[in-house]
Amino acid sequence: MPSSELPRIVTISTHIYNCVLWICPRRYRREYGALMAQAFRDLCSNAYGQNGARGLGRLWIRALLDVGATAAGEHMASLKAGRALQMAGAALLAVLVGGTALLVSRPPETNPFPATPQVEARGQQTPSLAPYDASSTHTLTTGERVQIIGNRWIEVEQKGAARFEVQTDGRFVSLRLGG
Amino acid sequence: MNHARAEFGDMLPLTPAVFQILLVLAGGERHGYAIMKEVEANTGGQMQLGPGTLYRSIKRMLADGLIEESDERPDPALDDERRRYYRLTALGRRVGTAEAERLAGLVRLAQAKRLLHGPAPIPSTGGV
Repeated sequence: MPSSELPRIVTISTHIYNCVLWICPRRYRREYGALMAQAFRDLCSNAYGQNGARGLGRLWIRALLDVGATAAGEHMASLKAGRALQMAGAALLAVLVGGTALLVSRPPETNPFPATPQVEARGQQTPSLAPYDASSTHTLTTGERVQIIGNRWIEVEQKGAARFEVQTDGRFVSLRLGG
Repeated sequence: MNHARAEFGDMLPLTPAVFQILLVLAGGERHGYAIMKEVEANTGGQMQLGPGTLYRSIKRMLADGLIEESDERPDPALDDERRRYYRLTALGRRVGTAEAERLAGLVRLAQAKRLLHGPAPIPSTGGV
């Protein structure tokens, strides 16, 4: 039966049912409210056609209980989902705060160099040393000083000329006596 | 049954509403009102799903991948209003089968315990 030909009492019942649906959570109502109202209108039309106002009254009792249970269940589900979301947010925040605190409190000896360290020679210039690549070999002479930019000086104490391997893993620099 | 439990985890046992909806959709795609009417007919009027119960179950079944939406189109038997249709997925069919086997196992157990006499009656499908 087209909705324009529905008995007036069915149309009014459907309008009231739409109002009752406001007790459901908004998200659920948006997704399923129109479908529930459509199904209720069909049920109304059927009940009224078969049993008149008495059938409609029985349907309304069932419908109110049904909507009440649905609203309660969906509100509980929303609360659970919200709590889970809150807990996930808190865990993420804890990780961020903890990680930041760990980085800030880290002693400079453990990570004294910038993330992309650069080395250049000072004093007796050794052109091949600046800038250096990861895992490269350079020849330094005694007394030559190497500056880790932004941090500290390292003085080569080896007597005479020697080969040093300059190595980095991207964060740490090491000078090692080579062959 | 243990195999089904291992495969479908905590999906089983299904709620009566979900199982009834699966049974209806095993016969082909339906819209919400048609599901309600068929569940009522299948259970001899013992189970009358309200719109809220129906769509809460549908929401959960969609989330679990047991059913899927097909399309929106009018039901020529009702009116010219567009309706959302649902159909069973392959997973939904397997879960429905596993639940039916679980229930059949319970019936066999009831027969063995003499709570139920004779073989389980085969319900009429209404067809010829």
